[in-house]
Amino acid sequence: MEHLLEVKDLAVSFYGDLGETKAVKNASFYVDQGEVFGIVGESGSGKSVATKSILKLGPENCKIIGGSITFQGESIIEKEGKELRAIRGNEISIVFQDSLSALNPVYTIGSKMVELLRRHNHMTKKEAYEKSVELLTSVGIADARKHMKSYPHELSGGMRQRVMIAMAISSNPKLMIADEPTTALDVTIQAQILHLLRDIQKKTKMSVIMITHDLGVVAQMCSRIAVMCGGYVVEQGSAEDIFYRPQHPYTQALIASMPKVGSDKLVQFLERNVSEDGGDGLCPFYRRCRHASEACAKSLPAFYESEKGHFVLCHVRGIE
Amino acid sequence: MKRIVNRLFQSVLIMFLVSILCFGLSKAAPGDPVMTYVEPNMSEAYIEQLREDLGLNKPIVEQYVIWLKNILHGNFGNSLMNKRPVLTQIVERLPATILLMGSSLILSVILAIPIGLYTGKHKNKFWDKLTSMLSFVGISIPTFWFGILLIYLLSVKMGWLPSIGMRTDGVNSLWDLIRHLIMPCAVLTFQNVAQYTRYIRSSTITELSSDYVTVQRAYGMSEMGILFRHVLKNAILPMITVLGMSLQSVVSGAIITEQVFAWPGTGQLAVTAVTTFDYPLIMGITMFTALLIVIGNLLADICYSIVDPRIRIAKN
Repeated sequence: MEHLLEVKDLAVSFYGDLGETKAVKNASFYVDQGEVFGIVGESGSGKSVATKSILKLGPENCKIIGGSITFQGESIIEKEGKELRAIRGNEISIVFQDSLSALNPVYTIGSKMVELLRRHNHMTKKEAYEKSVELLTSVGIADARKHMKSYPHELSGGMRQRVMIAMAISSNPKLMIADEPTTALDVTIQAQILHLLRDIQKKTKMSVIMITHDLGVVAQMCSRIAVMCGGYVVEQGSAEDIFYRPQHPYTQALIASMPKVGSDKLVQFLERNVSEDGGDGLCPFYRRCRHASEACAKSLPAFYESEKGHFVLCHVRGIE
Repeated sequence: MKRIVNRLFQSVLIMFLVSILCFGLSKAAPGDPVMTYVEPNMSEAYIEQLREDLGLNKPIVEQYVIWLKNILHGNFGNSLMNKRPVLTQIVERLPATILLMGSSLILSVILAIPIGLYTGKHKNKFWDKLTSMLSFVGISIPTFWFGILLIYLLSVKMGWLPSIGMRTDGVNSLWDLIRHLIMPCAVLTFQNVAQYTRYIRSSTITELSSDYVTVQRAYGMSEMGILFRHVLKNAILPMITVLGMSLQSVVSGAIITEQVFAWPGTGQLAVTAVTTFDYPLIMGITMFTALLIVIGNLLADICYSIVDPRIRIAKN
């Protein structure tokens, strides 16, 4: 079957005063129709840049330098201007982490919703207004009609994130990218928002890419997971594969570092020092890896399929 | 609303302090006011009598109270030089100044907003670098130098425009007025645009890098739509403060430019007042300018809360 979205050998670089910074070196993953796909990794692992590249949303000095992105059989990388805008927010929508800065402070929630709806659909102002109220109610905002006139700063973080989700589902997208949607929220609200996302996903059967550094979120939500480290997807597989049979030492370290109920010990994650990351063409975890072998110092490992659909980028895989 | 009333009280207080300062400084300045009335054949006793009549022998606090009372009744006293009321002199200069400063202010804003947006959007490209350079030139060169340069080029060399004044004697046409207005207005506008463009450019750059712009992009809005519908409104916010501060210049005039082009406005009046030690006139103009600065800031505050909903909340 053809995948809804397929990203192959994606490489993205930033060009700044200090020259080129490779944010994503090699990321390959796919998302199927109707599934929730998780991308996890520590800060700076390139997960956010990789997914923003799907909509070509990087800042000006950010360039996709290699690889391919195919959505519904069409390459997105070649798309520009109008064609690209027809996909953005319509076929693929996105929910950001910081909902306060993501909403323009000088416009009301309602005016933004109406504007958005009318951009992708032929609607009168009145229709769009009613549809907006309906959407806001459907994401659990009480008094939606009243809040149409609210400004972003007048709502709580949880409510703003609900507004963002309402905007994201307004055009019945095929794919929603949720870029750390709950990171900026407190724990009880996090759970509410995750429930809401899952309910919506079940109802609409859209696909979701969930980017997070919170393994708990991934465990609750995702059917398949990619683990990113230093710009590479180092391991990819079903949720069970990743949580019960992690193969890559990095994934193992990530899982081990999760605080556990009943244990007063926190396993410290190997400290990261950027300059010590593996050089080009070496495993990104090489310098921090306890199991590194001679082979690791020489070349980048190839993907190894440990079981069906479970891929690992490692020379010394399967360490217990 | 409560906040606006509060600010009004503040403004009155500030004006009160300004009046004390203004009065104090003119008292502390060298020179005896009575000397301007003195003529060689006056007797000592007559001068003393004059001093008494003018209230100059009263305690300084009492003098201040009398002065303040008069001002509140619109009486700024008489000019020492020509004995005419200060207020009348200021008011008759106003139309010229308002015409010059108003037109250059409006023109500056109209020019600066698109230039600022464009250069902010195309940061570090050719046109941005060129405007940046011109802006620095505009901010750096003194207005009198630029004014004289214009007079030399356009009046002396080319003979296109009249070099000084506001009207040609005996001619009363709008076109004549405009011809006189062009050069002083250009000098002021050039300097204003140079400044405003920098403000708008930098706020445009800040706004363009904010998250909501990425979100709008992610939701398929065109670059033009983002710039004009979303960035513009945020980017011109700092301009409200800047304009509030410049409001006083519409009445107090541009001292140097008016002098260079012999434009009969309040700026020129101020220069005359200072060079002739005309204290009532200086004090009158100072109070007038201070009042407008305070009003300008008050207006800026009110406008701000209308445009930016976040301020409205912070008030309550």
